[in-house]
Amino acid sequence: MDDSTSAIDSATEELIQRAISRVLKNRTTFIITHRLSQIRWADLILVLKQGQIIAKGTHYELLKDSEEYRKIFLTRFDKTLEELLQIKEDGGRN
Amino acid sequence: MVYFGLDAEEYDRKYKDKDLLIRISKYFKKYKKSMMIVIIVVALASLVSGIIPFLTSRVIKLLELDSDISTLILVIALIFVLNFLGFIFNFINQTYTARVVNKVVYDLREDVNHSVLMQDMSFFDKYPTGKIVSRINSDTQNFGEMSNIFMQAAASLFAIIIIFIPLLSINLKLAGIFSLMIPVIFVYTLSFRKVARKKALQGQRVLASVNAFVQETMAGIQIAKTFRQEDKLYGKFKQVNKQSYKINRDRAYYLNIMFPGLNLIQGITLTLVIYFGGSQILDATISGADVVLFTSSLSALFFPLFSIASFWPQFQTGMAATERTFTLIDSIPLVCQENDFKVEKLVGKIQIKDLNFYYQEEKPIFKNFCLEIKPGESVAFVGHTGAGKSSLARLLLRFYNFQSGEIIVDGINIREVNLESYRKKIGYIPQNPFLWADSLENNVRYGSDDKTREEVLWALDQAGGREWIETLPDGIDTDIRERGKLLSMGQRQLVVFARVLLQNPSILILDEATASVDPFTETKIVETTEKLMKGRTSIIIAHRLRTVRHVDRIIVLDHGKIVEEGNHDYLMEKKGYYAQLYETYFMHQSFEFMEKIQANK
Repeated sequence: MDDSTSAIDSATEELIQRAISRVLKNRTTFIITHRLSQIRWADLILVLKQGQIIAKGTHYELLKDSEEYRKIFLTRFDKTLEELLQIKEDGGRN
Repeated sequence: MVYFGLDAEEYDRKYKDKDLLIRISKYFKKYKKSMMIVIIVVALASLVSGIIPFLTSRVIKLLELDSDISTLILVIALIFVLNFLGFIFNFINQTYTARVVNKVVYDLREDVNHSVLMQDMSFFDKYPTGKIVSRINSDTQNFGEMSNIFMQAAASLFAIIIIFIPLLSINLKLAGIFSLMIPVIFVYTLSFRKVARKKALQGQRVLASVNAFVQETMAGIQIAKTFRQEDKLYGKFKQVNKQSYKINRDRAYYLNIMFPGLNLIQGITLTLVIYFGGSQILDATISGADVVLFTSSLSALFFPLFSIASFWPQFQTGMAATERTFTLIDSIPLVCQENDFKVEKLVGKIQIKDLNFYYQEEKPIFKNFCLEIKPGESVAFVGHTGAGKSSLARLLLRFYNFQSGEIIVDGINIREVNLESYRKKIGYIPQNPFLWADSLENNVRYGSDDKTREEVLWALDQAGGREWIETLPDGIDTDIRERGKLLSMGQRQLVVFARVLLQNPSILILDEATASVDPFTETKIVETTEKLMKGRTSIIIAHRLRTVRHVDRIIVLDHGKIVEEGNHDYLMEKKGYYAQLYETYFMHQSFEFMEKIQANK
């Protein structure tokens, strides 16, 4: 799936997210996405740069290991790394 | 089939034919000398073409009288020389005509283009680009053609007179047959005009539809392939193509039938001339040579007659095109400088007093709108579509004229400011970045020609770094193509950011892009936005959560009115209009939203 880049409002975003999660079920899925929420819950994230995989792992692994990946989340959400990692320990995943 | 957009435009005026002709002649005045030459050589060429049939018949007469062979050779040599002179006259005629016509088209295009460039944005909103383009290109071309048609017709008229008058003095009866032919040719030619024009129009339209289909196919080729629709597309193309074939075939049939018809008229006239001429020879009231003069004059007359017959309709088309071109030249921009205050420096203090503005009178955008923005302040405008956010930005840039009220920047009313110096101090980043088909470097330097390559590189560095530029085939020298299509959406935005950084304006007007880009570029854009805002008065039409959180003041607009203002936290706590907007436009960009979605899965 090559994710759309067009702008939408929050309600539509929510619908799209739901739809995507249904599509993912029981399928091997490659997602090229601009939605951070999608990236975050993928089983495996590949960070590509000029045709090379420069980092791979889960969201939490990459937050810890990849500076570039970390930067995206820090700038976008105005949170500290501790805050972002905290969420996992809080059980945010469920 | 229904065709749209064939009506007259709002800026179309009605000119009197006399006024049009006076203006047309102004364009030709510059080339008076060339035109005189054309008229003279055309007259000479007509004279030559009139004399040749006459001489031919004299040759025959000489042969009949069995006179001196040397006179005969002299006349034949004369015919040869005249033919050669005819060639030279025609050559000069064609050369000068081509020069005059194209020079006039050139002048006219310059004028139209200048006028269009000077229009304000309301003009471009109203009129589709394609139509303006066609006025600049094809209408001016038609104007040029018209002058050509005019000269051709003048030449033809001259030729007809020169050929025809001697015939009258030789034999009235045969000349009378010729005169009968003239109205027949006129009626016949004119009867084709209407249908021919209709067919030509159909031909152009069918061509447009084939083009449109091919274009759409190519645009959607990837999708078509994934859904295995190539065969279906091919079938559809065959349909469109067949339609095009039929229309063009019919058109060709129709037009081609005209010429055999003309030949037929010519043939009938010839038969009549030979019949009456022949019987007069038998009566010995005319010589054989004179009959030959008539038959050879017939073919010499034919083309001039045809071109005069078709003159009027063609000339009308040309006049219409001319009118369309002139109206474009004459349309007056609504935005005009009322004074010429040059802006050297701006601190960026903006005062808006009792502003009234509409695009269409029945739909006012601002009514007595007031606002003050402090130097260096960053202000985000939020609100639903149609609230007036973009309009405000456009008015500050003076792209549109506002009907009343004042916009005062650093104490100067912007109606009175020198627009060039003013716009230099304003950095505008539109929602959709526009790049030119030029090198990356020149695109960054656009509008700041005095900057060096080092400065360009600095600006690119500031706007998210130069790493991505190294992936381009020629780095910073890469031609990024029309609209910058070689670059990704995010990269295009970064280039526009670098452009404004280089410009170093006092006031920044940023219409944040709504299309999202890859997360890495997005991060760069966010960082650059914050750099750009620093030390400038910033007016931002905000779509990013991060932006609204960072600005000094958020102004919530609704139907051209300020309904709330304050910073993000204050307005969220207020739980008013902004809090609602937040839920619609900004919430999904927050971390909390991501969490909530996952929890609901």
